[in-house]
Amino acid sequence: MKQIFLEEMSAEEKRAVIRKHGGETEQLLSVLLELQSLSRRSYIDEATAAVVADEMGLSLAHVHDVITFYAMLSAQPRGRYVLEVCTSASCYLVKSQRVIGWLEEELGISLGETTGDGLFTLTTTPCVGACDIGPVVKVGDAVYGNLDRDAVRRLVAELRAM
Amino acid sequence: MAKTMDVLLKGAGTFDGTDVAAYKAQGGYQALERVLGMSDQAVLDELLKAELRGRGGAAYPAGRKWSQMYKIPITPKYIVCNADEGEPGTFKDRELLRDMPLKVIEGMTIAGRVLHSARGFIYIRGEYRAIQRVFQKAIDNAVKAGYLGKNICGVEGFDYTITIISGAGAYVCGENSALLNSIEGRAGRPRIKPPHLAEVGLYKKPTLVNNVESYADLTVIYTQGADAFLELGVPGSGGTKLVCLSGNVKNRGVYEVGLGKVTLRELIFDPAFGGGIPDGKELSFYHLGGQSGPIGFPEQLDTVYDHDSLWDAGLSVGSGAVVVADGDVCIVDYCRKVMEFFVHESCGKCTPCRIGTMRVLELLTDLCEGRGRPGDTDRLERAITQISALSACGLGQSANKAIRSCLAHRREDFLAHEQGKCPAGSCAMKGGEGA
Ligand SMILES: Cc1cc2nc3c(=O)[nH]c(=O)nc-3n(C[C@H](O)[C@H](O)[C@H](O)COP(=O)(O)O)c2cc1C
Ligand code: SF4
Ligand code: FES
Repeated sequence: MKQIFLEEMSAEEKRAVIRKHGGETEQLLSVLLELQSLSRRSYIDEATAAVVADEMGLSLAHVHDVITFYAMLSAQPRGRYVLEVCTSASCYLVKSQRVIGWLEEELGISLGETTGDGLFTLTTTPCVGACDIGPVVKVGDAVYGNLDRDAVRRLVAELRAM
Repeated sequence: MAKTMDVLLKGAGTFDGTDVAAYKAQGGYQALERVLGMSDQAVLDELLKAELRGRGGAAYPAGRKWSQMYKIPITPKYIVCNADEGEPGTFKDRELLRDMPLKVIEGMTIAGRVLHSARGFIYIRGEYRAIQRVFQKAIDNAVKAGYLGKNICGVEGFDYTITIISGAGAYVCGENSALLNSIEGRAGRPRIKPPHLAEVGLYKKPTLVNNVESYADLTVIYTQGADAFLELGVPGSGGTKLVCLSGNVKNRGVYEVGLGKVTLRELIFDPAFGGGIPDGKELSFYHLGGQSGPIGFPEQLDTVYDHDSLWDAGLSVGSGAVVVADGDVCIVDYCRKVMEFFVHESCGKCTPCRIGTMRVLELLTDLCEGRGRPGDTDRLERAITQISALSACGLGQSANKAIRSCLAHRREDFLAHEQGKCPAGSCAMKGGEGA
């Protein structure tokens, strides 16, 4: 099945996605998370934020405030895959720092950067609730745990091939 | 002999937790049935007697919270389940939400029944997207089976629904007033209290907020009775607790224990639990209850794991996290990590929290990088005292706890860093003797 990205969707198609969530302001985070997951660059662009505001009867300032407050949401374009290495206590103790180093090697970028092809962003995250399998990296909804050098190499190769 | 208990997580993973018939075969919905035959007051009295203390971190007696809320005459009332599970090192609500969703739903429904609320919300952290789907399936199945919706269990006028709200990555949203702002679709900054949420909560209406595990505990209390629940634990700490072991410990995972039935030593070293420190290393310290909790040391290992015993030892249960660190870890460097977390998660509303945590991080970073100066330890102590005294919410108020326990028990390590020395030998000092 061909994936339709947010970037190619019409305002009407975006509205359909928003309406699935029922239209209550309560569901704003769910709406934004879903739209962002459809973005080729893992972010909510200006035009999309405006459609959300209009469809849900909110001010654009309100939607902006929410996007900037929550760490999982981004107003800036990122890679198609955002690799988030957990650096909180439990993962730190099992050497999450090494995972960052390995990913930098594999991707040829430094922490905080995006690869030239727009495929990967390398960043960190606080605890994702998978401390029993640390060190972990979160990619979208998936969490990969017990990472060693080999697992990191395989993960990047797998994502590249997708 | 230390052993794990099989109460809250009984049968977890062996059946489809979203399936109502399978859940009932495991004893599910007996608690709600029993509550339906009791007066409101009897239900509240039983909760008080069970001595259930909130499992989200603050350990506030659930019975007291419910009784306060019950007395407030304003309607409508809301029931909220806190499934934000943001304390690093905590992953126990995950087990209940994924494997026992109907148990959480049943607990929330009991709350709805007794507190006369027709609407429940469960705020599940955004990082648990897959679990949100499982939980929604359980809600849908409960509706189909007549355990949610209108006239529940055939009782005229007993209406109750549960809505899932997703978080989106903000630790501070676990604070109960911030959580309500987030449910309302806004930035999740805490509110100034009072007014208390039991009076002015979600949409300015009386609101009960409890943790996932607290709601699950209700099913035990009303199936087995308050006495049996108390007996699973000790006076002052009824029931079992889900403990999360992680970090430098052999058997990482979630373990259910009777409160007051095991010691910290058993939790970390007994083969039935943590099984000790990997690679033949020694225990250095353990961090209890998440980043906002205190840190314990080997000399405190014989402390019994319940609220009062831990409290007397300057420790606490908190969320149930037990993060274990081996002897290679420098305590000052670990404190720096802790403060990094709070700097990142401060919502920025109050200056002491926003600026104070940054100042403390700078101090700790200097100490770890060989730029320590005489008097830094005292400066550190003053700074954390100010932050906790002047912050508006539990985040800023608790940000000092880890460092405070380290200063009380390992002050010499901080003083050594002032001199450019790292006793653990892990800080890379420029011109110092570390590493
Ligand atoms: C910064 C901060 C984060 C918190 N995070 C959580 C959390 O993730 N889950 C939770 O249940 N309680 C959390 N709490 C505690 C809640 O504010 C509240 O006390 C709790 O949900 C009440 O439920 P309980 O009495 O059943 O524990 C947090 C508190 C603070 C100050
Ligand atoms: S103490 Fe910190 S997190 Fe809490 S309201 Fe103040 S600035 Fe925000
Ligand atoms: S500390 Fe990394 S997942 Fe919890």
